[in-house]
Amino acid sequence: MKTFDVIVVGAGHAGVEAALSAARMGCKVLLLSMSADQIATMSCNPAVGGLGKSQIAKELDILGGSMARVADQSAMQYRVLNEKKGAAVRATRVQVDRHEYRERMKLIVESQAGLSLMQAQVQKLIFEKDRQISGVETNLGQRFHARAVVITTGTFMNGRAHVGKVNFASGRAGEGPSIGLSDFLRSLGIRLGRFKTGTVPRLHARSINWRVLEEQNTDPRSMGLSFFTQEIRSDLESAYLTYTKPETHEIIRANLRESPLYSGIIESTGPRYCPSVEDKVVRFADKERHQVFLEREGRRTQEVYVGGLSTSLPFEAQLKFLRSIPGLEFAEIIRPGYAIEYDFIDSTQLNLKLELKDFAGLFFAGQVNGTSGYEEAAGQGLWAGVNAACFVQDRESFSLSRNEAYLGVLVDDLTLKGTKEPYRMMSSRAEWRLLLREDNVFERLYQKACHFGLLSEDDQKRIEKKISKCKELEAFIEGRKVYPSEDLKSLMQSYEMTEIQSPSLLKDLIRRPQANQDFLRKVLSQDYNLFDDSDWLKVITEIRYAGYVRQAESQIQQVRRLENWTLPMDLDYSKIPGLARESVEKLSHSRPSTLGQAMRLEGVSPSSASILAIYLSRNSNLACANA
Amino acid sequence: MATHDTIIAISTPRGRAALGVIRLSGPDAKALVEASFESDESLQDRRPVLRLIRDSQARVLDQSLVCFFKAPKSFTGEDLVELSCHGNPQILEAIVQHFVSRGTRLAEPGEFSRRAVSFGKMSLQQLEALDLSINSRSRAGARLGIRALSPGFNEHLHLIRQKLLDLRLNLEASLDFSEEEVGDLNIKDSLGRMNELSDELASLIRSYESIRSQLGSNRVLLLGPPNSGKSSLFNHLLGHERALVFDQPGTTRDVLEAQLESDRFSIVLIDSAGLRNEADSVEQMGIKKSLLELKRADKVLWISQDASPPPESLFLSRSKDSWIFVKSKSDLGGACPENWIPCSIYDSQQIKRLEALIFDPKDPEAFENTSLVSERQFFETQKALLKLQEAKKGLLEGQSLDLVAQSLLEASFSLGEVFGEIKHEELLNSILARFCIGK
Repeated sequence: MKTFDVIVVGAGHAGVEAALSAARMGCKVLLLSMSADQIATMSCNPAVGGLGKSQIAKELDILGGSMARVADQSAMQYRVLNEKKGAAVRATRVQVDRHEYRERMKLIVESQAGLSLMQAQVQKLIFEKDRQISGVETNLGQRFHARAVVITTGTFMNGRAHVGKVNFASGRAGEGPSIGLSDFLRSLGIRLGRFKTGTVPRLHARSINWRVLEEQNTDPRSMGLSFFTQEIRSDLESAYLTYTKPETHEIIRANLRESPLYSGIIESTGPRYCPSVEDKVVRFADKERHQVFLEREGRRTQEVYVGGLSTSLPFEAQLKFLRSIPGLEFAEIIRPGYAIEYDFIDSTQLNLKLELKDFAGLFFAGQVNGTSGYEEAAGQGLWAGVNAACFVQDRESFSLSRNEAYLGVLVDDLTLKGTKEPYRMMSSRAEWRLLLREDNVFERLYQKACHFGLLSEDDQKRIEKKISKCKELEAFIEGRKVYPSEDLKSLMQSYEMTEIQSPSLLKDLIRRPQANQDFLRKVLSQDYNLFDDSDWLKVITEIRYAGYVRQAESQIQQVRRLENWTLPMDLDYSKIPGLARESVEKLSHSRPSTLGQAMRLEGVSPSSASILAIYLSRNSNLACANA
Repeated sequence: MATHDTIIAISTPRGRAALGVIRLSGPDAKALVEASFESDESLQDRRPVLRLIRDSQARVLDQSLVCFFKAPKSFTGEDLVELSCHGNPQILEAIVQHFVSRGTRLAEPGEFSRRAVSFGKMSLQQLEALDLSINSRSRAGARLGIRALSPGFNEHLHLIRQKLLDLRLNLEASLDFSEEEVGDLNIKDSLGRMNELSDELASLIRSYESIRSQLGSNRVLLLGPPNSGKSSLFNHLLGHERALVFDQPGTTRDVLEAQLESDRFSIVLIDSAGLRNEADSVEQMGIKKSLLELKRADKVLWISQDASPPPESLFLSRSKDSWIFVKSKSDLGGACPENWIPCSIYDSQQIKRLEALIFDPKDPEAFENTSLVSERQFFETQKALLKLQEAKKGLLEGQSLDLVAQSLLEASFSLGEVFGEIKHEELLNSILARFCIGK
């Protein structure tokens, strides 16, 4: 029987990044997928990035992940979001050709040295003594051995799809579910829950009256998602917009009894921030119209994604409400929308490595941990893959803190608090988001990426070059003056800025909110072009945010002390005098690794946290006194 | 695992009195006390009984009223026994010694309160209220402390905090979701909310400022040229001859201070050496100290018989409002310029007027209105207001919304601190260090 270092179960966005990163670190990796065709398939919208998510995709990119690069290679449209709201919340969204994305990703997987891809359905895990994982067993009875296993089954465990009152076992429309694995996990004492999510109908492009739709051009300002993308594709397309009408809402309301969501068939929780159109109509009854995006799913297909209309109404009702929308009067459905219910694991059973606390070597990543979204999944995949490799190679584990990366926020939230609905990243979850920007991602994560050997030599060199280029730009700006010429004054007027009256530092000009890159390009003319737009964006942002960043850093220093205060895994919280019962339950359930984590737990009151601090300091004093 | 030990302390002030209270808190408190009297009847929760307390040789130490408070319904949250004894220090100490010999530990300063916080019986904010109610030198301050300990006191603050949260929610939503989903941020509405909140925070701050001097923290300095009558005024305000008074310049060479109390207020009054250039070296040292006091003082009374103003450098070194100009020895004649207060210690009307200015109760209702009870809370509220104003300015000037949101986040952190949400243990320690034994 063949032996591997790491086995990854599932080849979705999490599985692919897990397998690739472990292989890049020199492990022998087996990637198992129920279908060898479905590698990094986009089950829902054919897009990567968006608010709170492009930051993750970019972090993944610097850590050697493939998602952002492949998205750029398969791009069909770019949008820059939140540009005016500030650099910390600025985001990039790439609409991609989902077929091309999948094919390219499959080729990357197949070409990766040390990585074997195999079609198989895992039903059981094999353990050695002491709850130490040693391999997996498939439904065909094959047994594969490895020291570490990463489970990334997405929505497939006990998946059940719903269209109206019809429902059937399914992992994704047209594909079977993974049966048996979740029962097996449950038999090990692992806590599982059930979530639901859904997707939109897909229409035939020729059935849409494109001329009456609002066109949304690709955003020329986008610099691509991946740091390593040198040129953006030239054959980009537009997306199109239309809106629902009151009739649409009436049709939906009239059919609610047929909806599995409202007839009581589906009781599991779905994501509130990505509601089905049924939810939108019910919960926002006073809203007269909802936006609908139409984007082609790929260059070599006529299928069109209908953004904003996730639904699990019966087929006839779907067709009827779609046809009430301007431009879709003659819509033909290729695939109906559906809801899907699936098993996920309670992620508070995982430690900061994404490894089960009670089972050494068994890692979980992606939607199976209760998250939603390709980026969240891929990020966890890389995290778990790197840690699986570290586990096998007896290296110190990989982690990022909440002030280093959105990935750090994601994993900390999941392992500490778990989630009551599918977890999506949002910038407000990141208390240090002013530090976690798209523009400085390479600087934030470069050293860690190098330390764990996640980047090729070429890529390392390119990042180093970028870092030194930004330093050059800082030096260029430092001390440079601008003079109050008539040209500059009228330029400032046209940007609604108060004019300067005496020679001023360029740096002071940059601090003004209105002084954007366009303005600076005009002020500096050809000198501006000594540097890239992305260099400018990073350095300008740093100048503007400097005060806030300094403040944040001093707060981080305080927090770090709490994070360094480790809590023993076997601490018996019920024996600490004075802890409120709710806190004892929460703490015993989550078993936080540090005092900082304990204080972030919901249900742990500030006074409980201070009891814990006092208790620990008292005991550490005792330990010191005895020593 | 270690549990808390049992601690003991005398909870009433040292000195002879009719009664003296001793408290024991901890797991062994009940058993230890029961072992010290003959009755087999065990102590019932919250039922006071009269008992003869005996030492290990069965000698009677005192007859005391013993009351047991069962955990968690006690001050500390642990088993607690209160002994009301006869208030002779000799008796009290003998009893404490007896219990210490049986394995009880003498409490450290503030330890009873620390246990109360640590067992979740009290928040940091309540601890500060307790501090005020015990340590305030004015009746109004003590009353405020007691009121702050009662339920409902925080309602106003909670309301303000909820408003800040609502404001932040709108802004955060507009950062996390697209315009299509949540619509554009209504800047006008946000500004309106910010204004309203600013006003409320400012009024919190004002109400604390107007009671602050009456909590015993203000320092009032008497400063002026030599022989202008500073020490006479000092003595007169104190009501006794504390400072040496002599009709010769340079009599006062050192800085003298005294606590001045009334039923409503309490300040520290400071007499200082007169300022002049031609002075011997000892007097020079005194003048140096006067200038140091000038920096520390909350208010300065500039005393001059001929109404000559202070040197400009001194005047400009502190805020205008903190100066009060006093034309002294007004009974001896001389013109009193506008903005100067005529004052003679022989004129009770003038003295009353001066007193009113020193104690400056800007708002007599303030004690009823304030929601802040400590310097720390005052400081955090000021910080919250500053951050809120920063956010408002940013919004008006077209600052990007992520930065505006950050300022609001920090405002809410500060407001959280007012409630004593503990972020780091120093805060707790520094507050607890201010506590006396046995409280």
